[in-house]
Amino acid sequence: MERERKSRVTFYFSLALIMIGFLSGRFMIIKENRIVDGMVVDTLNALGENSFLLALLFLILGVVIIFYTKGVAINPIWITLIGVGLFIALVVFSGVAATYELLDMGSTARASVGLGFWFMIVGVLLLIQQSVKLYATNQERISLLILLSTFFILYWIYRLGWLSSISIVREVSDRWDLFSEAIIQHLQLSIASSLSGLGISIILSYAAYRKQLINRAVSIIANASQVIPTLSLLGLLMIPLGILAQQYPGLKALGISGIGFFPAYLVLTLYTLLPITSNAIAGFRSINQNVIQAAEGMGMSRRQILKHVEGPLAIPAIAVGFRTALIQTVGNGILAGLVGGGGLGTILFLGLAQSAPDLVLASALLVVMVAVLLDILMIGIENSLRKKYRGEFNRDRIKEYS
Amino acid sequence: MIELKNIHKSYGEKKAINGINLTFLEGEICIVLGPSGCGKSTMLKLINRLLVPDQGEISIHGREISSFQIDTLRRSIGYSIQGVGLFPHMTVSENIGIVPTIMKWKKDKIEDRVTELLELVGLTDHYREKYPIHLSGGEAQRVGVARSLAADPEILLMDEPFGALDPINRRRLQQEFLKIQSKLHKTVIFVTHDVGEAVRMADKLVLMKDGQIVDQGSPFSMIDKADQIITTFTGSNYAFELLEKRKISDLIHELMPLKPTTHNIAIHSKEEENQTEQEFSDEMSLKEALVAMIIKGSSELVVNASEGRYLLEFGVLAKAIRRGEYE
Ligand SMILES: Nc1ncnc2c1ncn2[C@@H]1O[C@H](COP(=O)(O)OP(=O)(O)O)[C@@H](O)[C@H]1O
Ligand SMILES: [Mg+2]
Repeated sequence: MERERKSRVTFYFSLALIMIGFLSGRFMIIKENRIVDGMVVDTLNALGENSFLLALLFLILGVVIIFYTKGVAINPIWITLIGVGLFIALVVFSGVAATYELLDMGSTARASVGLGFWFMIVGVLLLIQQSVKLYATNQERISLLILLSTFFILYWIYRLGWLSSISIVREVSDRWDLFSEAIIQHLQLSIASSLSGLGISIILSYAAYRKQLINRAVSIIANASQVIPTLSLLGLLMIPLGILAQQYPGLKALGISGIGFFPAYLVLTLYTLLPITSNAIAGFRSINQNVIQAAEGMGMSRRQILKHVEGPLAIPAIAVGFRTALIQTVGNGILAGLVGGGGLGTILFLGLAQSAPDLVLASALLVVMVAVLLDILMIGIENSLRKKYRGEFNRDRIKEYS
Repeated sequence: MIELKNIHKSYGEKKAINGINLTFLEGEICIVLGPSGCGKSTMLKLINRLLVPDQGEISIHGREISSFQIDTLRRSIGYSIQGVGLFPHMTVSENIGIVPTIMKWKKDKIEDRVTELLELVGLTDHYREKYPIHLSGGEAQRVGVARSLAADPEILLMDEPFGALDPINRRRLQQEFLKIQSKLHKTVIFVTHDVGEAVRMADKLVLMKDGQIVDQGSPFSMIDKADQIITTFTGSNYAFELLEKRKISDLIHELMPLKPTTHNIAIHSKEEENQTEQEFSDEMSLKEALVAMIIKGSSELVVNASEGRYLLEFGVLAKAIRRGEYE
């Protein structure tokens, strides 16, 4: 019931977003060149006849949603499909519109999508996400399917050249080498620090679970690491690391220095400790003591208990912590751009410095896309781990006799 | 043989075991009976060294248990913990086979052992792949018992192993266990707070209260003390439960023989047949016989034994338990 009410609210909210976006009049901004003020074009003028098509799709969507929320038996998968259609139509139409607007202008002219466009896009995405929740039992697979197919359709449209007049697309495709390298760096950085964090956290959390004293120390360290803002930690580390590298050329040869990959990696790793250790400790703690005693009583050694009992039972909780840490690291990874650590942050801060909003927007969007993809992937892994180590489902339902 | 000498164990301030001396004989089922919190579980955990006594000595075959390597000691002692404690992430067959697995038995040998044990505890083979969550309380306890038997230990510590069962299934599992025991002859220390269970299964009964042994011996020898103490903590009557230990046939020499039936019942009319005395088998327990008397409102029962027909009188039944005391 609660869930239904929530999805109804979300549906109406996203319909409102789309409507506001449509009527806002800020669909596209045309500029002679990068410097001069742009000319704002509203939806009707930008899209021409296509705007009626868009309105029609929107109308159908509205009707379907209203019927659905009034209890008419409509499979919510239609909402997803219409949503995806609307999404693709929006992108294609704006691409076409941009091409027309720029027809008799110079090569320096650019057309960027405006606030109205973003409102509609956000509304549509919200709608798709909410509708998937209504029917998918394994949401991550459906989401991944939708995401990938949408991505391929968009890529295909891009290859046809229909989007090449939109400035953000042009920005990314003109500098694709830069962007692709940044994405790879970003992934490397996030994954490397999350994995290191995972290793350290597992050791820390097991030690904390076994020894009360260590537990206190670990929780202090993990919490403290979260209190200091990432940015200031990066700054704080620059000096000592720089000095270290100067004093010991050997360290420098290993890649340790005040700027670059290493400090970013170090700080990001530090930040993964809290989410992973806290989840892992909770995972270890939630193991029924009776189960552990049974294991001890049958003559299992500490290591065997860890390997056969505690480890498998804690893995699902650890995976949850790891996912949280990974997604957080992708976001925080932007800051690596500030210390020359590479990644999408480099482009974002470059865009800020050159007041090139398209660069900023493009790199931010890419960060979001990377995060969403990794998130979906991790949920999939998590679920299969949970299935493998069924304990996670069962633990609280295990009957307790005494 | 397991010997406990002057054992003391406290949890902080709380004294759980307060000076226990006990001997458990080989091949015997020793039932430890006592109210909740009297230290029964603690005593078992001291024997497999999940806990270490504050004072006193525990030895197996005359050897102090602290001198054994701990894993070896524990693997030679099957333990079914109170609350079963099955591994929730393992199937039934993985649960049962865990000790053989860590002892590095061959795979097929483990599989065979699991099959054998499932059969022993009366579970069909299709339980193999189930997870503990899909078992009823009774099935889980059977698996727990099977798991404790896996490496064929010589000693079994069983902590209220049938505690989660309804009376009917509990009784059935008790009988199955006795049948298993008659084949395996393990040294069993079996903890319970169920008087009926204790009386039915015990070779030797140990009565505990507040961390001390109140009395021990054969179930019949304990009638005086046991009845006072047990009735106060369970409400179920010890002497009455003891009646179940005896069959009518045990008393056959005390019964009054009756003339054989004239074999003309067949020509009696139906009404007359209903009036003829109802007869009882001599395989009945004395408890059932007493209940039958109460239901009939009579102090006599006609017993049909293989040697002939007899009359069981209440007076004979009432003396039966006291007589058992001296056996
Ligand atoms: N781990 C423990 N910590 C503190 N007190 C305990 C612990 N385990 C048992 N006790 C206490 O010791 C006494 C004996 O417990 P136990 O051996 O479990 O009794 P039983 O099995 O006969 O019910 C009880 O009073 C119980 O509360
Ligand atoms: Mg107990």
